[in-house]
Amino acid sequence: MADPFSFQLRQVSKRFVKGKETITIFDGLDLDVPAGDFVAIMGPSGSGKTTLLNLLGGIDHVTSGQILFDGHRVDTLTENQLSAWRAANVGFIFQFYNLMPVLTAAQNVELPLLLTRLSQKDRRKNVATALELVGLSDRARHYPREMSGGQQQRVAIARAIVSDPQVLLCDEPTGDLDRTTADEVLGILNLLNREHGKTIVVVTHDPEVTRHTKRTLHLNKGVFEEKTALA
Amino acid sequence: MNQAVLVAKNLGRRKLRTFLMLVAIFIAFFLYGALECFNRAFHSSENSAAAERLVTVNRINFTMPLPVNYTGRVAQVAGVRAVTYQSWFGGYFQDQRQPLFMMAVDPVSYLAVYPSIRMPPEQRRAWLANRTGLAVGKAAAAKYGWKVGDRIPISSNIYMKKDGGRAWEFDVSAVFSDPDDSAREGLILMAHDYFDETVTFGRDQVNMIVFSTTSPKQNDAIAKSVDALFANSEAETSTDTAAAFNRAFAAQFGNIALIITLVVATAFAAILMIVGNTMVMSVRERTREIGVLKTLGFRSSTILTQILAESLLLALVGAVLGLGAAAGVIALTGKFMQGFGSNMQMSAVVFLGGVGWAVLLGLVTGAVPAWSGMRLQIATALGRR
Repeated sequence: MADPFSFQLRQVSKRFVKGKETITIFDGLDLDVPAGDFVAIMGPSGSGKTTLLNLLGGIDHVTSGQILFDGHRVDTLTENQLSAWRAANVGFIFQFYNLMPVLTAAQNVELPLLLTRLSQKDRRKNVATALELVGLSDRARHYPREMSGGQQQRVAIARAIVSDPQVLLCDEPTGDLDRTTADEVLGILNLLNREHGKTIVVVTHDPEVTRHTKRTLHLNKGVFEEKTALA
Repeated sequence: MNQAVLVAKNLGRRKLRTFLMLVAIFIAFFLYGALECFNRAFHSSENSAAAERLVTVNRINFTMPLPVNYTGRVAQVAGVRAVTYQSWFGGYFQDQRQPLFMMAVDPVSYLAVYPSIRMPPEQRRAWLANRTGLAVGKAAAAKYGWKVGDRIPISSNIYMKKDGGRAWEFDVSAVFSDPDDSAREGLILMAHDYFDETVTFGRDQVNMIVFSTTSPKQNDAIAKSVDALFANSEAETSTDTAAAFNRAFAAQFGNIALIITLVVATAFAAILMIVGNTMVMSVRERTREIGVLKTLGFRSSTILTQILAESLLLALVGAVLGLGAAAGVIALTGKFMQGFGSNMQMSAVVFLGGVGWAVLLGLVTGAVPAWSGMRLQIATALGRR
């Protein structure tokens, strides 16, 4: 039986040393993200939102404490183990899309699949499915420069879900989009959560995001101020 | 798509920059290919000289003559198998600025000392029988378009005829090859008798005596014996192996190998810095993309491999194009460089050597950016810290 929690953070501390100064971001932070959750993390700049997302995605390391994914510790994994874990379990969506400019939409979406043993035929099939899900089948051969911001973000979502990860980590996914486009993107995330069971963690400044999420956490100076109950 | 496509796409992202890097590498390897071919052709006679062949020249230097009767005395030395002699004719054909590699030789003894020379028996008989006959190496024959039966007027920059003329009439009697020493195929051989009878000075004199021994192990002792024969004479001798003689001859023109090494090394050092620096910039521009790839699950070692593959591909494409162009130019101009005979060509050794240097260049220029890419922290790359 699958663990009811995607992520569990236990007494997580994170400190940076900057010159002679040590900056504490978190000191004994606890967090549970149940499987299937859709949670928004909000807070002022410097509150630790991005650092938290980095820790959840295994692209930064805790100073102390534990991070568990599906009941297994990921804070103790090596770099190569973390790479494999991310490839299998986590999809990332960034504010500025971060697509490869030299690759077409389909090739960008295919990137995570290069790390799998799937045949070229299967890879193409998965890419087509992912692009269809975000409504961009007709843009498969287009380069990022030939697409609008909203379309690029949808390609980024397709890239994040093409290998069918359990979790999507989104960093300001609507931060560079107009309201209408932002709503479309949030609609897709909502769909992925409701119909495909993806656990989604969104870091955002955008209060509109909370209309789509199941709960919202407010982070301030490395501490959660309040928690909204599951919707 | 596969990772090779990703490598190619990254190389093609700034086409002008990639093109300019390719041009730089192309030039370096064109220089390497052409100069190395020249160097090898220039020194080929050192390597092809038979171990048992010795050369005796005037001790002062090889341009000073020796009496021809020394030949008979050399032949008497124990261990000497066959002896011949030759003189530089200083000939030219039509254009005084284009000297021929032409020697006056004793045909019978010459063929005995150089048994690897090949010519059809009837041509051999014709050359031996015809006082004005020429034996022309096949590279020289190809260069001048001569064939057996042609009558050729050849002049000398050194000698005059007794009748005051400078032009000698020759018949092309034979065209020869030499599988053991293709540089010899650039030579033109005339009969020493004809030379002796017609010149106004220098009769009964030769530039060098060449002989073969029964065993290379005896070379040192035989050389000493030969030189001892003529010690304290009017024309003392210096005897050495043919290979050593050829080396000394080549050294007259300066240390070609050193010059070539310096030219190629300078070109390579410049290319190394240009391509290396450009690769560093190219990868630095992609810092965020490398971060994204790592976020998607690409291992650091995969990033390292990809960047190295880029620099290797660039170096190999530039090198193969440069070496190919050098081979083409050598093939087109080689026949006009008769002195180097058919050795003036791109050998597999030179080509593969070039490819080896290209691999090294690719690895060195890619090392720093690949290492940086591998070590790059995701959070830093994405500007998330």
